[in-house]
Amino acid sequence: MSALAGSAALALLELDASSIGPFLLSRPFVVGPLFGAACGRPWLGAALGAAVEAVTLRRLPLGGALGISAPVAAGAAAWLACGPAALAPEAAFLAGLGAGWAHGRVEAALRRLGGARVRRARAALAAGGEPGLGAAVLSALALQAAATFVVALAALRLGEPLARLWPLLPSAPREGARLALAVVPWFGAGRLAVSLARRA
Amino acid sequence: MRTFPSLFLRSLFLQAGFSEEARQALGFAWALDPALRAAYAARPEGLAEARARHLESFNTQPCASGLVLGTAAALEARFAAGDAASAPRAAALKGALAASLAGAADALFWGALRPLAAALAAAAALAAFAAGWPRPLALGVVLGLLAFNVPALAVRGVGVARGLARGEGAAVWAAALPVQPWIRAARLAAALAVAAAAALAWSDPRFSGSRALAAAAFAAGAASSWRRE
Repeated sequence: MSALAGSAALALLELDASSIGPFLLSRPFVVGPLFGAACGRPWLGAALGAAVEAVTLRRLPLGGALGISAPVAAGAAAWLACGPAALAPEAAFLAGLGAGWAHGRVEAALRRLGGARVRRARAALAAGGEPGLGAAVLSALALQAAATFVVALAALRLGEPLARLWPLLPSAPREGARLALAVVPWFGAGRLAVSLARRA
Repeated sequence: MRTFPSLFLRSLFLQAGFSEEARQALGFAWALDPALRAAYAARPEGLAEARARHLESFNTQPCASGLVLGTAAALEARFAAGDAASAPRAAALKGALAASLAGAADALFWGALRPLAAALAAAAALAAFAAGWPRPLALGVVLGLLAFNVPALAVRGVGVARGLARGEGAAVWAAALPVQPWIRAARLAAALAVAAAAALAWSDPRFSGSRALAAAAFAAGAASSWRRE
């Protein structure tokens, strides 16, 4: 799967998290294996999806709260590790989280600007016109998908430079990142199991 | 009832155009628009006011939005038919329903069914892999998606139908539902699925890596959650 195709797929899947549904098609447990399978390494994609899930699952989107974008993080991590860049999984995991964080900031900016659509609709009604609700919804979806596409493409394009730079880093941060990737899913699973059981 | 399919399908776009200023107002107004146009077909002068009423700030859990949309559509239809008290009731009830439904639905869908879906996907994929079944990952993902989407779409659809049929009576019906036992059962199922997925991964060195490290990390996560809560 090329970077362009991966970014386009991620832009569509991310709409499930932000705009349509939700059907959970954008969760890392779907996106990780899907991107891994598209690049020929489904289990590595699934493992990275599980790691991103462990980081993002406990944060609930209450009141539209934004953190790391889970679909962008999982999709970027899986593509960087399983795709042509073949980045070390621990580096892909960190790069994916970075892409997810960047997407969260972009989406926050889109949400600050989004009130203008509602104001325009109210003004059109007050002037006796049509509010253009369908066009406003369509433009919001298109802008969201375009923003995700740009962030995802930027992250995926970083794959090859990162793959060249990563081995040049001192071994301590590389080993630390490897340990973090090995530990994160287990730590997250333990935390989640106890949290759910105590509140049951 | 032609309003039902339109409200149900458009409710899936409630989050589109989410903004800090008006939250889900754009998605809500767009979802309700066909119902408003039908209700005010014989009294078009009321349509603009009705549309403006539903462009006010609105926020609820998306899976629970069906009941609010159905109730609002029913009350607007009554107002358009001459019941003058229905529009103020629709506005007040919309806000109250959105807030009360969001609390329960956040806990059920985000806090319980979402982790259940992820954990069930992992546990099913690992179990199918251990059993040598074909396409274990696809099986896990499909099961996980079903665990969330069957109840989510059912709640959305029943909410739209009850709201349309009963108007404000739907709020009384919703308040009587045993939601807290559902939430506790879903959390317990999710906790068991997480434990099952962890046990299956731990039992296979291809997934666990260092077993001692995996067990220590799981125990540390459990302990951190225990202390915090």
